[in-house]
Amino acid sequence: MGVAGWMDGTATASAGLKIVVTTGTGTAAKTTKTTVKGAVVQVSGSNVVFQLDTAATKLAEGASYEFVLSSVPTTDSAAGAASMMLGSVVLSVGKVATGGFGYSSAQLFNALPALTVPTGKALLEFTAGTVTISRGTYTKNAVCIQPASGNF
Amino acid sequence: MSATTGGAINLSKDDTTTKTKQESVALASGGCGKSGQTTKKSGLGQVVEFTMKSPVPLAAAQFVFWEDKTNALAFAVGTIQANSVRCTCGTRSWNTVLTKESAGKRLKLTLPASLTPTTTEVVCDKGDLSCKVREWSHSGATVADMTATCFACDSASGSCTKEQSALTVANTGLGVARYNADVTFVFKQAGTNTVTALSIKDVAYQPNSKTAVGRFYYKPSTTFPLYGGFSDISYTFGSQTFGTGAICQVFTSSGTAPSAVPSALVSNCVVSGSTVTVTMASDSAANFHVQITGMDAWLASATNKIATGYVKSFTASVQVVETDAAKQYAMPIVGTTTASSNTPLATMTVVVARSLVNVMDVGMVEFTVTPKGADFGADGLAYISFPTYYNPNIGSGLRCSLYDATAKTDGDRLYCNVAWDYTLRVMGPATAAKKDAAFTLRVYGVAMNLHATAGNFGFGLTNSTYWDTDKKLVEFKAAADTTTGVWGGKLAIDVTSVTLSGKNLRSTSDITVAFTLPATTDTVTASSDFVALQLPY
Repeated sequence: MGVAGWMDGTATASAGLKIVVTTGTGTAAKTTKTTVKGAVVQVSGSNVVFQLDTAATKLAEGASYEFVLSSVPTTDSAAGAASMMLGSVVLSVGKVATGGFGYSSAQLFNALPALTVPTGKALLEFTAGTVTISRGTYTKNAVCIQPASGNF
Repeated sequence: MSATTGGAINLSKDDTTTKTKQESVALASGGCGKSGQTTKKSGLGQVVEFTMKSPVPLAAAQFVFWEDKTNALAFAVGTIQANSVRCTCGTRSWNTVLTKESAGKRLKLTLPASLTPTTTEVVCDKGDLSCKVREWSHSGATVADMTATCFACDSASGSCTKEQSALTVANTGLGVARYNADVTFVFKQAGTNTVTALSIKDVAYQPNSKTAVGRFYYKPSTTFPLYGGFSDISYTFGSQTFGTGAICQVFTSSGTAPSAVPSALVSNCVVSGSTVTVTMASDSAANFHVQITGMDAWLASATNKIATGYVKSFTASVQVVETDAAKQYAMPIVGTTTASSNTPLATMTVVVARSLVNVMDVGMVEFTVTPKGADFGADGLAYISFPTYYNPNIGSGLRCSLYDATAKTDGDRLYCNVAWDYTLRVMGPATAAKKDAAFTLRVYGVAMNLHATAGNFGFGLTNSTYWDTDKKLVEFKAAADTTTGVWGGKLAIDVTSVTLSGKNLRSTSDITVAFTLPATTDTVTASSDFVALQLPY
């Protein structure tokens, strides 16, 4: 799920954090989610760091949170889509000035689900991992691959 | 049979197997060899093959002999080194020795007890047996045409003569494959070998700049046969040192440089002082490049000749480098030609800062650079060597960017990739960073590790034109890393759910992670000010 667009700067990541507080129990339970202000301060191909605002209340032990990484480009390949649950995902917390002090364990992490082809579409893929294209005598940029209608 | 007093008769079976010694079988025409080999009386690394076409299976501990039929001539070979003889019969091969007997007039093979595929008693089925002496350590003597023969004797007959091999069992014959006076081959050792020196190819240090830190690579060049587990190739590179932290890698060749694909032809590489020694993993030509990273700076030393080097097979040095200093390979020294090294400008300033530096963090390394030689523009290239406590690939999905330290935002995106292990190549910005003015380059996505002692980054600037022709830097500066991070994890974060807003590939999806911070004994995660998420590659 590494994001090429984050590496080459053609896309960037956005994220948000909420603190989740549940009061009461049973049918009287009430869950409140409150936004914790902050911004993405570091992005690379497979990693995003969301830093809390200076004025924001910092994370507390024993507290529950909901972290949302928005509009993450999903994989292009059927093989990658089928093996999402095999990938290692790590959530960590800490202090930007120093580093991380808490990390999730891959064994305890809920696996990412397999991705699928959207309904009504067919997946067009190359049969090999690499493709050799001979430019021949064509002019530059003359080689174009156009998926047939209905594919994507 | 024995009787008891009660009148019963007990019968007991004899538990000793009755064995009948078989008569030996005569070797057929062409059963001993091999003729026609050109064995020289000088030079090293010669392979001499002895064969026998056995008319019967050969069993463990039996003996095969090759000897002068007249018992007058010796094979004129010195010590046959351990494991230097490779014998093959059928699908089985093994390393062994041939024992010299009768003052070198005959060579004896003792068949081993067990081989792979597993043997019981029969080691070689009826048919061809070949034993190659892979390092024929001739004595330097001429052997005129020797009419040699061969035969095999049973396991209790290590001193069996050819005459004894031909006797019948009734006449205390000892043979298995019987001596046949008409079955001979010619062994001849004469003439001299042309002695060739061990050579070397593709020797390069990149960047080819004195004081710079980069990689050193070369390709061994020898015409001698090499044997897996038994051949070493060693070179001493003048007074160029590699340091105790040097990392030796062996890659397949891509033209005149190493590829990025590790080679399986070498089993070990030892770097010591100025010497690099590789041990072959298989019987093969030296078709690979050796690359050293994490090494000392390039010295471009005046003592630059490769004056010491050898190929050693088994325990004998079979080839050495040129002894004539005028013909020895000379590594680059500082000069004005394309091939010579340069001395890059050293007045540039480079300061390193990092964030998220604890183990398991994917963090950022920042370089604040003031170039003195030239602007860092669209044609510019930066080569940054990382200390080897970083990962060889530095990180996954690296992103490089100029950084506006005043506005605290990223500026021009810079394309970067790992040029070779531990070395990042960064292409210059569209808008040049002027010389004599500081610019800040950030590398995001760096995998952080611990380090006992902070090492140096090597920061080099050049331009693509100069690099393409000369592989040199315009300026270079070493910059110290910051202090190590720590292993900060105490308790695993409790992730209670992970949900995706959509599950379509080639689309986008929001990833929602719900988690609870556990209470640690030292409240180490309290007051955390960031949340990071690493995605699978």
